[in-house]
Amino acid sequence: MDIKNELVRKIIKEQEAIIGPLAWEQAEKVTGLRVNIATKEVTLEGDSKQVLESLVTQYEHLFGPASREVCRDAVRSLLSQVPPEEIPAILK
Amino acid sequence: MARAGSAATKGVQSIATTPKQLMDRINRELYKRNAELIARNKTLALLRSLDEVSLSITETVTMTQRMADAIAAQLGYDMVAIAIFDEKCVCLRWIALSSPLEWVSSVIKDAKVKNVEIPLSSNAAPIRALNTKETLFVENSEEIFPEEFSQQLMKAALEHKHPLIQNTLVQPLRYSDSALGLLVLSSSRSLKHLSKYEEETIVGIIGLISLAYYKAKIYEDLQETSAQLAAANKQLKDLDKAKSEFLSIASHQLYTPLTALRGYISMLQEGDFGQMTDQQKSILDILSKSALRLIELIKNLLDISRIESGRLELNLESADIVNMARELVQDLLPNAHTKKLGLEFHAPAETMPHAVVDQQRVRQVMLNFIDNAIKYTPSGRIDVFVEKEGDEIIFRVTDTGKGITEEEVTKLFNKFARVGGASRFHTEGTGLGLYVAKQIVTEHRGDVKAQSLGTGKGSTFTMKIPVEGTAKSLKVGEKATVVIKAAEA
Repeated sequence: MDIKNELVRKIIKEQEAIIGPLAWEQAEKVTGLRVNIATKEVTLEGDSKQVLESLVTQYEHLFGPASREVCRDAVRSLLSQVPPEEIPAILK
Repeated sequence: MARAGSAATKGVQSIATTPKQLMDRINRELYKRNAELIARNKTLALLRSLDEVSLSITETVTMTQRMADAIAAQLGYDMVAIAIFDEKCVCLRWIALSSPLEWVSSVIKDAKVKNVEIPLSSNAAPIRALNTKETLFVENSEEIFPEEFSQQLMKAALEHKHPLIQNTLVQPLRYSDSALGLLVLSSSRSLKHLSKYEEETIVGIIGLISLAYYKAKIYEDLQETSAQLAAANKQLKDLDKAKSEFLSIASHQLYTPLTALRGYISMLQEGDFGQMTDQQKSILDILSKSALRLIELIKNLLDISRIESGRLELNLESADIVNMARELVQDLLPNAHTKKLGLEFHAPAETMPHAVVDQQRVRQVMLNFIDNAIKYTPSGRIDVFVEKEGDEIIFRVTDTGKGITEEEVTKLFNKFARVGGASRFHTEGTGLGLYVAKQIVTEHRGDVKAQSLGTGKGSTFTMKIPVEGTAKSLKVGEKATVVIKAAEA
């Protein structure tokens, strides 16, 4: 579960560099993510593949395809540590 | 009415949605540009840290290792390696390997990959990349790294349940036309399709690493050359010192018996041991002159030996240069008349001030000039002048002799220099007199010069000495030693 949390955290941090605190506010709206905006901690609950897909989609809905690329770049170096069947298509 | 109302509603709806769509477009465009800026910022930050490494470290191996560490930490590759072309072994050598993964760092630490040389003559993948100057993608790390190292990596990956680090990107490092080495980036993910940010970053770091390594290599080569020069210089100084000491000892050994020889010849000439026949007198005259020449040679050698070891001290007094010159010309008149040459001293029109000099040594210089003029003038005359020019006293000797070429003039005051064609006139001389003369006059803060219009057109030798009491002049009683400056030695 740790690597999945790390994936989520990296995506949100990368988005935060571009859009600021809004990144955490948007992450809070994703079902399956427990976010503490004050401490900037996040925990993934439930189906990780589904949650990751929802998180990326949340950003893409607001900021378009560029934001999807940002999410992919953020986790690229970690994906090899995740079983392929658990990686959502949106991140491949 | 109803149709008009419906059209109006549609118009209101169009007006209502357009600003939101416009805002969405603006937001997305702003996001995209911001994302690019962030990516560029990261690239710049990495390049800045690499630049700092290159400026703070000049030793090539340490510098490349620190660069590899920075790239591995910031770009997220499983392993970063730098290989350098070694001219001595004509091969590629791995000089830096780094990884942000602890288990990979352990393997790097234990492996002897840095001792492995890849000969340039081999067809190994790294050599092909170096020669083709193109980026190489490899999906089997054994093609790049030594077999033993690759297998250790594979074993450790399995132990740590990490995907195999098989994918490798090999980039040549070049500066101008020189092949410097390779930058190798390895990962468990595919490196065939990189993001625009990655590509831009890699291009940037390759340029920086190449330049930094090239500069560091030049600096190292310069250090090595400087050390070699310093060692050679020390050896030369030691040899020079030994030669001077030998010169001094040898000269003293020769000087004493020669002085005795000349002394007895003089006594024979003066009839102290009975009247000599004309023939005997003639022979004694030749012997006396030969002994005198040998003594002069040895005196010059001794002077040089003293000068080079810093032992020729000047005894400074206030002296009348005009009187010194006049007396010297009187002494040398017989020598000139023997060769049927005119020799005349031209006294200055005005009263001349004194100069602070070592009279014995300056007289030696004057004697050298006039004596040389007599030697190198087959016919005609020699004129000696003393004049004042500004704050300097000028002693000048002009002759109608064989002259000096432009090339010879430049070397005249060097050690053992002699004017070409000297043997034609059977002139004696060792080529040491002018060299010693220059050292003496220079120590008096003066200058010597030779001028000539060319072969067969005579020559002029000039000595300048500061007037007593002027800024450049030495002071009576001041300590001065004639030495050789390093540039003249």
